[in-house]
Amino acid sequence: MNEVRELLIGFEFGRETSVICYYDRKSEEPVCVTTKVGTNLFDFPSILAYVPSKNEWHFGLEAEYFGKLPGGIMVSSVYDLAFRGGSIRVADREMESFELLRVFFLESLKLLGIRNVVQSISKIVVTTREISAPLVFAVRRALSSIGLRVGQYSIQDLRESFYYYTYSQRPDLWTRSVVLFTFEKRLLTAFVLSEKKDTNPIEVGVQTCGSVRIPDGEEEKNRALLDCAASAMKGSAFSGVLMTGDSFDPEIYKPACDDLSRERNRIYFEDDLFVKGACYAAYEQAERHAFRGRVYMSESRVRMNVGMDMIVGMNTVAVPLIRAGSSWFEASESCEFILDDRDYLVFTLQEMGSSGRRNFRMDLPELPKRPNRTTRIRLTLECLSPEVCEIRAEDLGFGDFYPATHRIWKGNVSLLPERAD
Amino acid sequence: MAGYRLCRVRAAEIPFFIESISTNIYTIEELCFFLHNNIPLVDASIMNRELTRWVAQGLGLTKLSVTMEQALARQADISDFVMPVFREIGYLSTTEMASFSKSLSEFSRLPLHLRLKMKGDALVRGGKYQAAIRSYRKIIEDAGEYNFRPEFLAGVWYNLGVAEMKLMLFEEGLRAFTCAYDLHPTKLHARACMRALAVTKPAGKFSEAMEEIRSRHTEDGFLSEELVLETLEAVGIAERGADTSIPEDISKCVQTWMREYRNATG
Repeated sequence: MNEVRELLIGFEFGRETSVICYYDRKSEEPVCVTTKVGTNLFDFPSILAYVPSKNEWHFGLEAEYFGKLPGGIMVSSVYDLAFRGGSIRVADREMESFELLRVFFLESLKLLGIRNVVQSISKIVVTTREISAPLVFAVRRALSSIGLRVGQYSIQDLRESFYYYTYSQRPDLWTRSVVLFTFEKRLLTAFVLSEKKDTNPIEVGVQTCGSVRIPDGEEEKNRALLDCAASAMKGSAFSGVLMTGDSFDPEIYKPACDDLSRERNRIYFEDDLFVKGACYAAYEQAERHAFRGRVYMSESRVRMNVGMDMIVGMNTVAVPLIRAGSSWFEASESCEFILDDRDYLVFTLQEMGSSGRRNFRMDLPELPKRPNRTTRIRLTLECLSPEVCEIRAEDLGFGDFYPATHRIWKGNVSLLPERAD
Repeated sequence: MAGYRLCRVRAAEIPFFIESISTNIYTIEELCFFLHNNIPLVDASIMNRELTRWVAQGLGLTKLSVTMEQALARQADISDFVMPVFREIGYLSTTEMASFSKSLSEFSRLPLHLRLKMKGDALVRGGKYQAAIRSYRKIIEDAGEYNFRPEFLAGVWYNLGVAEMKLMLFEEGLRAFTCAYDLHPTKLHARACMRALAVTKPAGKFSEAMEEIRSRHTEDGFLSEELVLETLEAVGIAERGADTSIPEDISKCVQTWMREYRNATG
């Protein structure tokens, strides 16, 4: 492994298996970490095993072994538990989903072979097939409990990882739409990435264009791929076709690929595309910042900018709090300010790509009466969904001059655009 | 400029203790608030290296700390030490800054004893009676050397009396009020004297003292019968007692009194 510090990590956390990769700055590409030295084995089971007699945890392949030993406890529901939330009894203690996940991350990151791996991480992006609120909560809590700060970690679904993968490739791949076929065991799924060029910033979406069961015969397999492609690629111009997945065999699918390339499409095959996409996301977010002017949009993205006009130094500045285009589960912000001749809060809302603004006023009833500029407020905004943002304002008082009451005012602001009647 | 002043400077984990008002501060905004509202208290007790160290280490404002240290090193004007703090975060608007800067330079041009009295007054406002008494006494001690106007010195005696009464030093308070009245007989000083008498002397002695004061001062016009009656009425109310509610949380109330007492005598 060439990298030893400021690591940029992609972590595909799957229901059955997981993969880790790191960004190699020398070769300028993500590199998957093998589970056994000298092999091309990158996936490891998303399971844990606990050995109470030794108070030891094991993950992946080792967990399969130790979990089956007498006295060993196998925990194979790490993903499911994180996805739906809850706890599980391991030996004599009840463990929350994030606690299991914490162990899973800590143990599996050891694959990188670096001492104090957590201190060496600059950014880690976890990618999963689907996102649920409990999963987001568990991943964030697990990663913060191992010592990573907010901003050093994020979570995204596979479609977003496809987005990051695509735009980290040469531009000739993505001058038009891009289609991705994933081959998982017996399932073939098509994803289409396309841009809305009339928006500013350019909105990029990834649509799932159906899944089909992969048949047995070679001819049938090729027919299934072509049918799937015909349905997914209907009516759009494509500049790239991507294939990924363990059950894709270039030899078997050669006739279908030849057919697809006859349409002047470039065809690429990539192993572990999603984890590499997550790794590119870490690189983009932490260092590269090359995607400006383009924003990934999905149903989990917030479409509204929320901000406040604040006095910074001698000027009034529009301070962004929630940025349009961010995932609702990651859209949160906290700041502190002093009330200056105000006993209420005013937020500005601006729809993405629009210049119009509207205000949202939140009153602070029973705000303690104090001299001007002696009330410090801690403001926290957190999205509860793509449509609703919760605002919390806490009275921090003014040091020993005017002690804090820690009274909290709460309000919800709608992030849906206002519709004209 | 009304609105919301974004706090960009972190709060210190370890506070800076402002001795003159016995208060801990944790943020640069609190420091600005103190400086803005207590010009007379901006002296060596706050303009020192302890504060600049706290600004650097506690608040993480190294550059500001250096600017303040430079002002200290060249023994510059108060404003050279204080104004950079306000500029750092824009706590005051441009107009307020100009007005505050003017007040600072005006204050630094005032005679020493007037500044000392203003310091005492600020300490009384902050409940620091013991420290205020020290300021007032310094002026009174210097009175023989400087030829103060009687109105000024009477004001000092009167404020000294207030601070002493707050500390329940009744005899001393009465003496201070009497001095104030002797130097500059006004209604305010007369009222203070009589009320101090009422709380200091037993009933019989109070009447005697009142008679004595009456015989000495009725002709000067300030000690009118109306004022005497007003005082007697106030004393009567005090003797009868006034209705008051008993606080629900006695312990909390006692704690508050203890804190106030320690603050006043610290």
